[in-house]
Amino acid sequence: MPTRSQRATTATPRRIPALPLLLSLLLPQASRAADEAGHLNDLPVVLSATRLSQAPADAPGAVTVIDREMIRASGARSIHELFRLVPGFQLGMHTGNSPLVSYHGLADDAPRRMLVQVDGRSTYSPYLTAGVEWNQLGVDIDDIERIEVFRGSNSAAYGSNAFLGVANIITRSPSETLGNALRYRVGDGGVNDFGARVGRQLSDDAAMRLRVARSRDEGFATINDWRRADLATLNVDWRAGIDSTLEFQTGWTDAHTGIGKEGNPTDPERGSHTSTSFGLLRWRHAPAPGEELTLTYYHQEEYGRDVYDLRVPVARVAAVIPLRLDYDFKAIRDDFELQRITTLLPSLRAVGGAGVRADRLTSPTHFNRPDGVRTTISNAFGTLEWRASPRWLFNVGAMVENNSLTGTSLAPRGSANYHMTDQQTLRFSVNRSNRNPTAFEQKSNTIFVNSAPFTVGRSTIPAGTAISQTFRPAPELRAERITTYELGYLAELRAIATTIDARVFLERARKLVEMNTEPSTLGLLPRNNTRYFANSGSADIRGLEVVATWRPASRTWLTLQHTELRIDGPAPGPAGTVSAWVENTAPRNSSTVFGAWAFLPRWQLSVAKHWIGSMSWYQDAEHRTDMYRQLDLRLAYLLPPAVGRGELAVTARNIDGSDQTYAPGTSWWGSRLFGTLSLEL
Amino acid sequence: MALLRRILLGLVLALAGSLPLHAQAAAVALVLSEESPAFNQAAEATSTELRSAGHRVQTFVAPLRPEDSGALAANALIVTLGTRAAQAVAALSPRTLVLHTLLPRSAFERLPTRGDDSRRVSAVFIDQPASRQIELLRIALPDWPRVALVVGRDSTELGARLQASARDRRLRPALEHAAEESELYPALQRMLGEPAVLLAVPDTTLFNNRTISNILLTAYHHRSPVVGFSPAYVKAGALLALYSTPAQIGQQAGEAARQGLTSGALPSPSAPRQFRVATNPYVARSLGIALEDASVLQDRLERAEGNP
Repeated sequence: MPTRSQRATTATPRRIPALPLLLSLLLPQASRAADEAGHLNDLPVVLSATRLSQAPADAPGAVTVIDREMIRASGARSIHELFRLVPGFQLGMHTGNSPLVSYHGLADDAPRRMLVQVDGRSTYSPYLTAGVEWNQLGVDIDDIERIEVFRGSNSAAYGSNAFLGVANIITRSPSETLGNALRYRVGDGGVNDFGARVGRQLSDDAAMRLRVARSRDEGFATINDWRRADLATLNVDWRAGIDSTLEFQTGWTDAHTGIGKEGNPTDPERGSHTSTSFGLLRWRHAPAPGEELTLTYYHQEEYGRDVYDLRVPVARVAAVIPLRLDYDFKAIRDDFELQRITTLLPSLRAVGGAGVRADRLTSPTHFNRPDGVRTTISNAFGTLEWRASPRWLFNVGAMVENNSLTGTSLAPRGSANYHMTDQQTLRFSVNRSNRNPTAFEQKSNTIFVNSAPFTVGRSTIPAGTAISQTFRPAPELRAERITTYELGYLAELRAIATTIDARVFLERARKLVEMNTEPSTLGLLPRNNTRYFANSGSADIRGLEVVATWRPASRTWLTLQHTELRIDGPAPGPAGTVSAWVENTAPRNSSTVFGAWAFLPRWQLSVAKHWIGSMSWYQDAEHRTDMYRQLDLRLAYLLPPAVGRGELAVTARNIDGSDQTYAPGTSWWGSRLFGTLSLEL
Repeated sequence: MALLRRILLGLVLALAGSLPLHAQAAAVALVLSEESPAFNQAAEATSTELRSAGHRVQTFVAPLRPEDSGALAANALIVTLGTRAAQAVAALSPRTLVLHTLLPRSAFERLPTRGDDSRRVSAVFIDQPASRQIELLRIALPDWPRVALVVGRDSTELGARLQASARDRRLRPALEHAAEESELYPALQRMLGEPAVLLAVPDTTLFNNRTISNILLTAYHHRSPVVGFSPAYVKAGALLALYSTPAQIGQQAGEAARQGLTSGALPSPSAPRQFRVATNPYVARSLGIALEDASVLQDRLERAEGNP
């Protein structure tokens, strides 16, 4: 090999051809674009193992992907709305600002058996009863690349909260969102949203995206459910080398919402405020396709403010009790995870890793202690994917998790995918998943005390006296578990741009955590309905989900989906138990048609129609909603290049009449019309 | 002093030329654009080929110093490796045989002296012929008739060749021009709305270290496979790549050089004869594409070209 020392050192001619030498100095810069560098240079690993989504035919379960075109065509302003497009999911609106999302039922007005992650950051809220705070996800809907929804249970891969349904929200890489963008949306119901994005290539190796957004609306008619939400996020990707990238994300959300009910003495109409901020740092090392080491750390803080004073007249003691209801809370989470993906043999791939998470919660009223509650979770997980032959693919995995509230649990999973032909796959899978109770479920101890002295008869009750207990702790509460058996069929018929995805399943949930009541003598006002959580429930969920999608182009498609669900609770127990509640928690039938048609090069019409059967978000049959239908329409026009890059769209949501999707006699989800202008500058 | 040196050098060369052992041996200069593993591999392959025929090889690295031009002129043949070396040597207008290699065809076509004498100045390109690239698409991705191409100012001709070749093979090419990086992303969005294979072109204004992430992610999100022109593309996330290794190109250059030295005329400029195919099975699986092994594709492409 020649080296610099081997340069020729022969005699020097005096006459130097000046012009050619000058040219030779100038020319290389002038035609750099056409030199051989592109052929010979290294490139960074872009589609590393974790960036690649698993092919549906190889996945160990049923996965629905909602991509950017679908998100846009749906006309959704908020992420929760998209789950109406996924079979097996239920979406109810408690009020205009408090959505309820669950998969295969088993939910109440605080669904907590589904996991939502944003770029690997769990948004499962640790602080109260609800699992996902939809107003606080910390991601703008326009920054989402796709949402991968795992329909089923998957604690083996995602830990104890992946009990029924897992949604992974994957945001766009900053390198894909260079340039500036603006979005303005205005419509009835006080809809007034604004969003701006700035994307910059900071250097050859770094790109960033800054996003700010606000959304405003008045919620549903006649109730106090307005929403004023603000968001700012910053994403920076820095390529630390050919094999390594460092991702930094930080974000802040701030939501003011109207809550409470008119005329309700203890839950009056008022405003509440929740604020979340987070920072995430991820290092990826991908030395070769199929090899990757990822380290992720994030820190997240949530603050809630909801304090109000009441004077509650209590007839049975003939007194007016002054109360300060202080629902303020603070929740701080730190999470660290290490994951390694490796190819052991050409036919054998492994994923392994470990993580640790700490949640610190302070909510003096809910826990009746000023110092807060600390929960730590540590886990180790592993998956092996064995391509035994071109026809058979086996996947086994497990997670061992230790939770400071409930001890250690194991979540195993196994699946076999049989590729009957190049285009058709049968899948069998068995899986055991767990859900650890939230700190609230196990440790809530809500005792109201009077905020000022008051008199009963001739005696004066000093401030700080226990009045009544609404929740008592349940130290014996353990993880609930679910065992899922599934048979799946997938056809990907490329020639006719069609996929068919069908799944029949049996999900046996045991030791389900449910809310029971009992008498309490604690406090001045004993009550017979103090609530506590117990592992007293069980449910067998059987059903079928079928999705057929025809998609000849990325902006034109038609999706038909249908879900049949039957949930059986245990045989009726002693009077007063509520165990049969599970049967009402999901509709027996629900169907959706979702289509988009780019009928002219610049025009797109999209339609979503839903038929939702009767169900109950309460734990009884009396509060069943009627079956209802919803129709959404959207017409979009891509601006001509002379005007600018962008889109003008008109969305009409739920135009076929108002529905009560939470319970009879409560809020009405009405229709709404709004226009959106999106511009890329 | 300089005159004396030149006389001495002339004497030495004359003596060397008259040695009976190396009756047909000639002096060959290799001029490298830079010293890097790729250039060194090509140079070594060329040198090995030349030395096996008894020729002497001397290596220079660009930028050339003023005193190098005389030394170069003393050789019977100059082989340049890389565009920078080609430009430096072309600027000297040497009267010896000149073989440019490890450079793209477009760079060769822009050299000031190439038209002088096609038998005296020739090239072995680094880039693949359009027909071979299109043939690979047909073999590897028979279900993907639509080929998306984005070309810039420096790759317009290449784009036209690829487009024509695709049409010949009954594929449906879609071609967009992007004068600069900022026009690349909208062009990709427009083209990949319908299923298509994105064929990357070696135009570094558009396809470079900075844009590759955007290109591969955009294509991936449209579920479109990307076909690259270097093994780095496959590592980065392209579905497959067609390329020739520096050693393959270097060897072919050595053979052409030998032929030139023997006959006094170089073979006409040509694309690399030998090539490799690389695949990324992870990307193939993720996109649900049943892709054959790289070695099978390579064999089939070689057979299609009539090579054993």
